[in-house]
Amino acid sequence: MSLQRKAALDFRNRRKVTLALFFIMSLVLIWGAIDLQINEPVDLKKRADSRSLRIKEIPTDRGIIFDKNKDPLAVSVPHYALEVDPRKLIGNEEYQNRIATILDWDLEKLQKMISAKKHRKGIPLTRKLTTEQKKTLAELEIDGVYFTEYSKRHYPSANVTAQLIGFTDRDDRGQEGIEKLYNTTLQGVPGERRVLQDATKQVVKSLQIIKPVEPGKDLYLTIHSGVQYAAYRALEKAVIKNQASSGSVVVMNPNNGNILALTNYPSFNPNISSEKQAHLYRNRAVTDKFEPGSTLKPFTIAMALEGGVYAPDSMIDSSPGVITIGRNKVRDAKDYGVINLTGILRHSSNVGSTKLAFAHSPKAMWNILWAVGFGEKTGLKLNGEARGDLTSHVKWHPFDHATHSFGYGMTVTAVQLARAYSVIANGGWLVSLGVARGAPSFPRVRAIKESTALSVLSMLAVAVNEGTGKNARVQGFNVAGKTGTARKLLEGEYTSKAHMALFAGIIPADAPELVGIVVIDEPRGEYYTGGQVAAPVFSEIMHEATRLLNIEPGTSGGQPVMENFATISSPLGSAF
Amino acid sequence: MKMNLFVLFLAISVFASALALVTKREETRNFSKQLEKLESERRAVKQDWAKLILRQSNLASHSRVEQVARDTLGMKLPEAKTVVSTK
Repeated sequence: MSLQRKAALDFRNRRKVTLALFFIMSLVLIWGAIDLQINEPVDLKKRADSRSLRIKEIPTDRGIIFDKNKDPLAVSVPHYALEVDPRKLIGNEEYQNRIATILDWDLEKLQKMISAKKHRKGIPLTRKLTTEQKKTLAELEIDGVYFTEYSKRHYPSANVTAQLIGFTDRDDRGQEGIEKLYNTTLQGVPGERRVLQDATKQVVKSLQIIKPVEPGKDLYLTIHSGVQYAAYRALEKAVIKNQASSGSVVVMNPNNGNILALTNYPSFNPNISSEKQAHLYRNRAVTDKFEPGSTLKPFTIAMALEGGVYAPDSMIDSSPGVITIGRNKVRDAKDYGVINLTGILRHSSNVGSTKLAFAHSPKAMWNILWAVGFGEKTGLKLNGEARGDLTSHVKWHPFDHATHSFGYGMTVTAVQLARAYSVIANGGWLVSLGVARGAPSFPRVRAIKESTALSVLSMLAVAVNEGTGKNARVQGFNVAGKTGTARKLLEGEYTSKAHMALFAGIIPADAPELVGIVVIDEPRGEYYTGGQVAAPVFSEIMHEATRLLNIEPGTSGGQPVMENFATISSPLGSAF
Repeated sequence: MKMNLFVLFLAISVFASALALVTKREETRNFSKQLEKLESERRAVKQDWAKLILRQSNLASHSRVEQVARDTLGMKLPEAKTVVSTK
């Protein structure tokens, strides 16, 4: 074989080998591509997406709570928290200086915070950044300075509505009061969007809205902030003046069950977190039960009138001012002699009430108390609402039968008492209470006859004008109401050292538009009775409330009310 | 011939549908973007409004008005007996 031929053969072989190698490499590449495309695409796609696709929350703001006149009671406004990355700030004294100046901090304080956590990615500096501070800091564009937006709830009426409105936690979720009850409505639902982000986790593009945002809805209450303020101010003054431990006031419209004011003292400022102490949260008007004492007597009268045996001018002999039941005695302040039903309310006679109760069965007594809403919740649905205690009449001993007639042996809440007095004020209907506009309520039900309600209302007007409730009178208006001074049960025994001073009133008595309940717990000053301590609070609040609500003076037009009122609305003739 | 026309029709349809899909997807993205922008604008406006009504409410609060009336202007609430109701 010549050299030339051998060289040609070598070249062909080398060409073949090279081509074969290229062919094999191409096959490997094609196989690799097929393998990536067919066998592993899901996994790879997932891995790629996980680095670039993210689901981000679209924030929503909590709705505003308004009173009935659209005055705000709770508003969320955005605030900014400041966070820094110590790794990027350490050694950069110029930026540290600027941040400290803007925050009005000592440079040392800032440096201490940064160096204490120098290996952390981010440390929170403050949640109390003002709008100006945030703007100035943002303009500096310092690397390692971040802002987090958060929403903070503000309560313009502060202490005045504290227990009623409640408050939210750091994440703007309702914790107490209306804020908790209507949390779902107020909070709204944050939306979700799919975004594309780059390697530095910055959002490059918004791809899709997965879930649209549902903004928090505003809430309109039935509360009138003017009446609420008048109630709080009068209550605060009375609790301090009488050295009482606490007090509550409820003002409502008896015709539709709307609460216009519901306040307690002592209170707290929900805008200041250090003032949020558990014993002050309690909405006493709703959660605290007490024996209603003489404020319950109108319902004993109503029972007697409903039974048909007694008429308003029926006479009861309350002599000698004491009645013995087994080993117990029921006493009056003095011997009132023979009195009519109005006289029982005017003198607040326990003996008269007991005699009326004993003329009827325990069941009749229980029925009237149940009919006006005692022993069940009022429909407010507020956190911790108490039912009160109304035991079954089957379990009553004769003395229990007697004590129920003048408000002992059972407990009620201030809102229950307001609801029960509404029955007298609105012609005999039991309404469900509401604090928010449009809140579901059950239809009103007839609790007592209209004529009974009207008769008791007239008698209550006498109790204010001539009886124990004189201090509840309001210039220009007829007021109907009843005082109560209930001894408190301490260690199983009623004590003469601790009382509940109560007043339950209706105004104007000749065309009722408001019911007010005043509860003062343990007044320890010079006075302690309902007539001396609670009735003046009612008068002060209603003087303001009638002006604020444009309630016209009754038909008596501010004249001495007795004769006029009796001739207008009393079907009772000689009783007045 | 008929078969060829049918195949051509299908091919054009597939192409048109592909184009429509891309267009609609782009439109959806644009609308999403627009919606997001409007949502964030609405939120900003509502937040501004909340700040303003809060400020207004603080300035007009019953306690502040009473304090200013009493301390700055030397006013006092009329007593019930000095008030005359007129019709």
